[in-house]
Amino acid sequence: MSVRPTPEQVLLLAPDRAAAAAATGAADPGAWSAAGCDEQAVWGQYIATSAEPYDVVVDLGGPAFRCSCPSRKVPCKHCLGLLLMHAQQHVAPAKRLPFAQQWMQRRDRHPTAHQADTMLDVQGAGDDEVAVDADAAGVRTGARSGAHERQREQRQLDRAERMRAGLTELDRWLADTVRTGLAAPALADADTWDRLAARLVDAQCGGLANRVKRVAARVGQHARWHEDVLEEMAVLHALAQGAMRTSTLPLDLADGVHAASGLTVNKDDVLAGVPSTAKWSVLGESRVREDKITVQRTWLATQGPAADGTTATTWAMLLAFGAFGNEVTTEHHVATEFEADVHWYPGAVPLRALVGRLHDEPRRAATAPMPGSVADAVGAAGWAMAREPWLERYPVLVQAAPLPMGNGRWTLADTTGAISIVPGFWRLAELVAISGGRPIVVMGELSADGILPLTVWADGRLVLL
Amino acid sequence: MSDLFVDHLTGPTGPTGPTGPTSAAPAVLLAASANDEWAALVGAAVLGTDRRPAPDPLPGWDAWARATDPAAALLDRAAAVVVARRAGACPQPRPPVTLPAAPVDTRPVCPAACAVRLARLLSGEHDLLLPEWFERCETAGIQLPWASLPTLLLKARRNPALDVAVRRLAAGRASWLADVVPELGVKVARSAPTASSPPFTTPPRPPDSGAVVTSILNVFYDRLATWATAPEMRVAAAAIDPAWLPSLVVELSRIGFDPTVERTRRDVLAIAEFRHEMHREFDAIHVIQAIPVTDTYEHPESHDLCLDISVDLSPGGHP
Repeated sequence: MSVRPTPEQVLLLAPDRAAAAAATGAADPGAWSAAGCDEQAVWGQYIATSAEPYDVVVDLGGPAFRCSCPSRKVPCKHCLGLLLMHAQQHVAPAKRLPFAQQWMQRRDRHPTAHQADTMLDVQGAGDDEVAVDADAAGVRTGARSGAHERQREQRQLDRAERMRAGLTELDRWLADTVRTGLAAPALADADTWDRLAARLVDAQCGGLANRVKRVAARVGQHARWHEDVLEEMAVLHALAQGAMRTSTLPLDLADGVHAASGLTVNKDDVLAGVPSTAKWSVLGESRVREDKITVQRTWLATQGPAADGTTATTWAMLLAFGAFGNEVTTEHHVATEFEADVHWYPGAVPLRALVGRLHDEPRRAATAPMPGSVADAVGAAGWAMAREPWLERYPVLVQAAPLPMGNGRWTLADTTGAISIVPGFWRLAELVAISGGRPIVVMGELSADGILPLTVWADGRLVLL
Repeated sequence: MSDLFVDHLTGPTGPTGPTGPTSAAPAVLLAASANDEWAALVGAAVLGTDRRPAPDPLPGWDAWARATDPAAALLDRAAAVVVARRAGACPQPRPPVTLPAAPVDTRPVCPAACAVRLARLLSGEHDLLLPEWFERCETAGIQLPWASLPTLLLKARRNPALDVAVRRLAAGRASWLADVVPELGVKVARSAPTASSPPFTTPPRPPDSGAVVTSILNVFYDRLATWATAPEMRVAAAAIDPAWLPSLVVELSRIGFDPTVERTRRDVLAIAEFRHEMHREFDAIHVIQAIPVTDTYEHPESHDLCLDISVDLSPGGHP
């Protein structure tokens, strides 16, 4: 595009009518600082309402666009506005600004530089920098989305390759460890596990890296720690084997394996799925610090009559993460309920979910949820474990009374049996004080260590533990 | 998994290999075989398959022992047992102990707002007001929020007067809890206050609360309310007749920003607001339960006069 395009040609580049209209507004020289152009590129800084101006560069050869604004449209109104000003001869030739120089150099070095950039990014990122390989007048959405698709596929292939390498290495490490024995002193060294976790992070298997760190924490925890560690290693082995042959697995299971090994699913893709519209109650919330991030789990449930006349509880888990300086906030408060669309992430056990459209305002729940028996809760957890054995926790809602086991551990027991409370549960005395030795309704997370109580209902009151 | 044990194996993840047991096999046998298989695998894994190869699989578990590499085969077999045990987990047997139930408490349950207020007091926020919370709770005739009982008992270990107050209000549940949860480390019998132990009482109410409010405000208007005066003013705000709290809150909120007194102002305002809210929450109980008001406390809204007085007290201090 060595010939300067006309304003009409520029407007044809707009992804939609709204962008074209907005571009005309953005083509106001007063809103731009340091706008300049040369033979190959045009650039400028758009002074927006945000604190930082947006850095905008357009490669006239592609044309290709880069703008630091958060818009997902390509080209965005700022790029179009800049091109319009350029077309109207309002941009004077100048020396390239550093950001424009940098970006253009990168494009010169690799003709497909934009692809290389985006491939390294996690899914969804890198949308700000997309080239359009079509002539100014001939740009159509189809051509652009084609390029988009190709990049996305390439990115996914690339990542799959890295993950495969990471999984192969993990499995080899597991076999080597079993060969030399769990009693080997290297296993007691945290560095051994950290190195493995770091390599898994490099291979973009973040989910597995976190698991490995949790296994490391079990080493030497009690006299029979070898059993715990072998159990986790066996699960990791199953996951690694599964992840290397997902194409042969049933679709749901393959999705579950992907999620457990760290392949993220785009939120938009989840929200595009068929929702479950129901009255959802927020029953519990847990926050755990993992490494440097806080993981918040919010448990939603909806209850309805089951085929056998009992109450069936359907669960959904909302996951949120917070880091230092960006703490996680509670979006759905415990003891509220609302009518909403809930979309589950793909997987063999529908658990992790997103809340889509809310059909009414969250309000205080009028009644306590209907609890089940201990046997039902353990049975439901077993059902989930059978489908995804690597599940680390499953929600339970039981009516039971705390009972001591005699060895310093406590259980929640009813007539059908007992579940032990996780060792070191620091609100145990509160739980016992609330119960007064009588059955109470408890919502908690059931894991291999036992139940971690989160919410208690007693005397018509709700208490967060 | 150590706490969940198997006594049945069902569903698609059970051992259904070519030589797997049929569904007619007793569940107990399956559980026992899973445990034996697991024990054999753990033994080999601890020493390492190089030194101690895993024994041959038990009947029903050989479908997963096909890998040629002994280490990989061990992991395969371990994974199969883990899946079977996790999926087939059953509740533990109920512990053979019986826990005595706590004495029945017929008093109304503590309202959520008051319980939250107590939790905030116990977390150290304006803990000066803790005796007053107890006083109001006792007058209202409601239960202690049981979730706060352990914290109160622990706090009372070094404060016999508080211990007496907590155990009186807990009506038997304190001793019960100390008995059934020995790991809490609280004595079952209550401790007797000694002459040297700190008292657990509300600060003495001044004879003329209006005058105290006036003097607090004057200290601010004279810009003498430095940080050093804050503790005394906090105590004063905790001691005055609660009917004067609204006027204190209103007047303190009206004082314009002054860097010398701002920190103190916020501090005194915070405790006045906190105490005012606390009283409103307890007043609401009387309304709900329609219990005749027995104490001398009157509702702040009935004190229009005090607002008028307080306006007079602030010459030129507000627009």
